Amino acid sequence: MELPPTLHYTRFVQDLSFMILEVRLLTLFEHGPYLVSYEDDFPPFGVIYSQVIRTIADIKLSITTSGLDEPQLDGLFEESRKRLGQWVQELGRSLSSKEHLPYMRRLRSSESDLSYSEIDFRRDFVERILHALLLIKLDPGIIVSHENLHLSPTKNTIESGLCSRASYSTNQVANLESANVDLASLDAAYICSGPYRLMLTTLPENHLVLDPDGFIHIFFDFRKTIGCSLNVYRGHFLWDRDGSATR
Amino acid sequence: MGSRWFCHKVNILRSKVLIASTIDDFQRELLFSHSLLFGSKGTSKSIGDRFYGFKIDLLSEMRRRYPENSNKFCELNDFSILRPRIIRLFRSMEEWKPRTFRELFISGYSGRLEW
Repeated sequence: MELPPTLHYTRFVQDLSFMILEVRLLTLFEHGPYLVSYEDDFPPFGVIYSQVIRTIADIKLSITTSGLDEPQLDGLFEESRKRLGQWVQELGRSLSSKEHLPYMRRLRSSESDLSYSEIDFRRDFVERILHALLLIKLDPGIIVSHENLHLSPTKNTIESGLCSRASYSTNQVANLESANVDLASLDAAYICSGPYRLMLTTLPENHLVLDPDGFIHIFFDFRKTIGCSLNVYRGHFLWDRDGSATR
Repeated sequence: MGSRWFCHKVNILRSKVLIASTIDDFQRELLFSHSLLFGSKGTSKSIGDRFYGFKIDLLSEMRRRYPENSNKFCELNDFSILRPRIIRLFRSMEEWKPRTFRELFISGYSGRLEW
């Protein structure tokens, strides 16, 4: 089954967002404890990223629980897009200084490796991060490759993303909520009695993802206390350089 | 400048709190989902033992780590992070249809008697 272009696009942008994270980490090493000093009135990447994630979670929760109609959802999304856009623009602004040019060049070369070319690199780049974050949450569990990558103009991509979100929220979520999901069916014996199979994964982001071959990925970190390996993220140097969160 | 510094610090603190709570939530949901999958006695538990490679008493683990949830069965609302994925999984299970001749002999998850 061929995946919609937006999903290819989403994965592509996800990769780019990891690249920007890398750039931010590089600048962190150059500029000391915080990515940009507070005189620049620019919060660290971790803060922006958290805000973005939290906003997306808010949107998702609103969609699944509120029972809003389509025009209301469109309004909600428009508002959220504006808010996210502001943060992502801040992110882009910090990349525009001359000091970051080497990293930008590196990004640009990585970008050409992915067979992508557009003239206004920076503006579209930061916009795409925003779209990727939005689209990823709209359709969880995406596994795509870069083959047949198709990029449509940004505006079209947003619109197609919003269209799929609208139909997802109004039809599928409503149907599923009303279908009274019985969590007792989330049982290994029951699942294995049908066409799907379970498989281990060490990637937390793949937990409960159904792949195209019918395997449901289950995250396991080979610890007696399941998930305790994730504690390492609590004191991640990106947001906890002074160690205050882990003391 | 003082207020900027203060805002900056507040933002950092907020970020830390958000990240810590997200990790907590994910760990909780991870354990809940494992206990749903492999926690019930019988075949599921033996599948779990084979899966993990050693025995894990998931229900005791849940009681130990989340005593407030120990007396009730998990609900969809307990999964703030994994909920969309669970819904998607159920949808796929309900809508599964055989695509090959071989799959005609596999019973789906819904309408088993019809098969």
